[in-house]
Amino acid sequence: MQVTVIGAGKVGKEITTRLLNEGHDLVLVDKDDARLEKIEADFDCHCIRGSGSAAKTLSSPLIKESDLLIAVTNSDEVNMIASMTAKRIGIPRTIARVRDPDYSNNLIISKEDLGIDLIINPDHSAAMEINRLLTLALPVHMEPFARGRVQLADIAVDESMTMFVNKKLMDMDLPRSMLIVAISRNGDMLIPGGSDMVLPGDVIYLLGHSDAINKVCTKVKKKRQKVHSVMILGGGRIGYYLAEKLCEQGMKVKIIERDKNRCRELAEKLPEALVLCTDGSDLEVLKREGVADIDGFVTVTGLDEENLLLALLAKQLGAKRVIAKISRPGYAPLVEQLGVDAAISPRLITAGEILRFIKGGRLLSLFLLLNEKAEVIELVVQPGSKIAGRPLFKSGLPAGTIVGAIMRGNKVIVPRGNDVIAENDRLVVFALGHNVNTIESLSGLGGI
Amino acid sequence: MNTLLVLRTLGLVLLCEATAMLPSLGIALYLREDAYPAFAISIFVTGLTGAALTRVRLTSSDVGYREGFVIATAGWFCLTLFGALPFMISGAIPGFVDSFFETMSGFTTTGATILTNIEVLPKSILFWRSLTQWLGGIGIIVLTLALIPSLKIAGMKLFRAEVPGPAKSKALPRVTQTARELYKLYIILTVIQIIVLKLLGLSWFDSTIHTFSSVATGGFSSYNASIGAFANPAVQYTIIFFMLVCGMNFALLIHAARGNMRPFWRDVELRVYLLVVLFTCLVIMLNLVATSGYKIEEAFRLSAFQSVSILTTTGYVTDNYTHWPFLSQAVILLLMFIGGCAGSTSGGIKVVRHMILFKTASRQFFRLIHPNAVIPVRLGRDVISEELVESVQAFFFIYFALLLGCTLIIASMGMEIFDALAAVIASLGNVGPGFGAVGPASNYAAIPDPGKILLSLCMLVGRLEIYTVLVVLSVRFWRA
Repeated sequence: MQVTVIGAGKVGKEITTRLLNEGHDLVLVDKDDARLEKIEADFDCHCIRGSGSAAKTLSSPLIKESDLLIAVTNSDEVNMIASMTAKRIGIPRTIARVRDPDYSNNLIISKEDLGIDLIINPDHSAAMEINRLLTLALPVHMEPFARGRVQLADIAVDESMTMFVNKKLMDMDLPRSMLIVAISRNGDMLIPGGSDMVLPGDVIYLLGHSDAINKVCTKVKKKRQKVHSVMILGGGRIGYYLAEKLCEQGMKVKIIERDKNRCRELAEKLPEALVLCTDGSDLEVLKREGVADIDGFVTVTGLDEENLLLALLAKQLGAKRVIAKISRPGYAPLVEQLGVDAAISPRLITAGEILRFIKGGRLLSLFLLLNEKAEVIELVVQPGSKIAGRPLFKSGLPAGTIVGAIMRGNKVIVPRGNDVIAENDRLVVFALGHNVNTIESLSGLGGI
Repeated sequence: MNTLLVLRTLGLVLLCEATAMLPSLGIALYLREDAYPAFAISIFVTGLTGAALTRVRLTSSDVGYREGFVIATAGWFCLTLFGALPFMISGAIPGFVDSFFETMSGFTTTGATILTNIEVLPKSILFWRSLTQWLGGIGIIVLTLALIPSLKIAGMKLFRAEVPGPAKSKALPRVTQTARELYKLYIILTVIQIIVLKLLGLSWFDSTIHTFSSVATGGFSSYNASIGAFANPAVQYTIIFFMLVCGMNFALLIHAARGNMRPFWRDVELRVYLLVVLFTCLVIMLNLVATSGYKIEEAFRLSAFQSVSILTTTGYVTDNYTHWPFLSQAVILLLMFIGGCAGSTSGGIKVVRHMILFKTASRQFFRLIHPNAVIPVRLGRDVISEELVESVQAFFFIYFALLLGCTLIIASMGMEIFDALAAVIASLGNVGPGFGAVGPASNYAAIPDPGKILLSLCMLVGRLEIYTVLVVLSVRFWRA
């Protein structure tokens, strides 16, 4: 598929990398020469200098032939105009980043009117993800698949978890309807065999029947109390969306933001939240505002370092659950080791959304793990595909791939090596690296 | 300062006033009263002065905030001077000071009177007395704007100087449209009330002049016993209703009349206003039933009438409340400080200012706990700008400073301290009757002349919401 990406900023680059890896052809449009030069040097894609909203640029033949246009410049307006123009000149599908909620929530002009097929708003997605993590009943990260009947959970193992710690996989007393699909150790992701040991400090990924996963999770840690109070550091867009969402649910929200004007704006928009105009890295302020008794502490400032360090500080001061926003994936391995409960990357979430959209109806869901080393996909085995009718161990799926669950009709099967895959089965597959394409073509989805 | 333009506008205002005197002349002629020459002379003098002033050739039509303030202050002042002519010439009210006081009390919809026996006055004079209230209700400059759109003196600046309430807003895009719409509504309310009162058995004359002073929340009656003269409870309930409605924000009423009820139900000021009415009404009623042995219906009617009348700063009375139990009296005194809604015909401090101040004060407590918090002052969903908050705080200070200062001066003229205070409260708040020597059963006749002049000025300052008049009196205003 040929894809045009407009705007070579952080998100644009992230998307480009992923799409190139997936095997798509990329055309990149940006105004900045220097940026394009760097990208052209690093990636194998075609770069065009010009304004993304100009018809002149968009009607260049290479772009016109594209199957998809993704507009992710800094300006919402440019993105919208680019999408509208693209639709007119015959590009079948468009994705635009629209960050201003006044636009995306506009009921009078729908996204169809604007010619946009998918609106992405990384900040909003990130805020919703944080909200989900905060309101989750269990201290593990869970991701639902197969209409919620299959779940992926990650558990950070420590010494107290006698169920897992220092045990070989085959010695563990796990229900049959679940698998440990991966272990993340010191930032590396490994697919374990039966003789592998789980060490303290590992993060294990469990995939299986929702009931079984829930049972294990409750056994591992006691149910967490409900979150009543949340302190948000950084009053940017994510902070605003998150505060709005949390206030809606009746939580007590405190936002700490340095900029006076932004504070005023937030205070006007969020009547229920308490907006504090001060430096969030001021320990005294945090203590005075009761960080010790807070249920959730979220750092969403523009600086990864600040986010991470302050989240750690808050954890040490007694905040029950801390979440940090991390833009640079390079820091991801640190997060788990340092003791921050969760880290959120808006870019990663967005990339996931876009990939899911591109794969359209073929993949039912796609989930990128934070350190990008693995993906979880959900797909339906097409009639006549290569893997149908064969037992798993002979299916020819690439190494580093685990079929975590099979949904046949309403039955969830956690397969063993000699289970046979049938046509129209719904598979939840855990895959290392970028095996997604191979898996797709094997299951008859045609790949690219 | 664009003096020529100010003079021309004053001329137009006076022409309007001369026209407004015509019905009284008609009544005097029709009833063959002795007052008709007085009206004829007054109309002639006012009309001539007005016409002369409008002949002024404008060199520019630039208008600034200063012109707006000067036009409003001087306009009301001239209006009162010329409006006092019929009283003086006819001899109905002997003396310039008394006539001036009575007219000012009329135009500012205060309703304080120096007349000891109202009932002996000629009907034409009584009609004029009540008409001044009707004219002053919405504002004479708004009237001029509505009638003469060619008066292109950039609307808001004038509008701002006269319409009550801390944050002025127009219901419609153009000031002239808004002014017309205001008067349309005002006239409709007036007509309805006249008809209802007539149907309840009042004479056309009585229903008209009582309507004039109730929709304007003024308080002039043609009877010494005020509304107490009408024994029919239905008449009293009707008047309660119209006073209550006219104490609401007219912008909301305009929206409601156009079928847009949302702003009406949503308005927080209106809710508080109605709650205040309900609460005081209940307190006074229970108090009256418990201590003075009134029957429930009568106690309810008396308390509802008095609390609405005082809250909207009308100043009608159905009973001498100075004989009520102390609790009820204290509640009445408090009501004098509250006033109606912004943008209504009522005077006083206005409910919305109290609300803003209350919110600001409670924010102060919160700030002590969270010194870094950014907390905007809100009314309902709307955020009140810091400038407005400051303006309201200053308003309160000046209001009470004036109150105490004037009380001091009136007391120095030999009045009892509480009576002096009551007189100033009633004048500054455009209420009318106060307590003690100026209570509902007596009047302002006993106050010495300088005191009457001072109280008249208080009424003007109160009606134009303090800033408009005081800014004209300030040194800086004339220097720049």
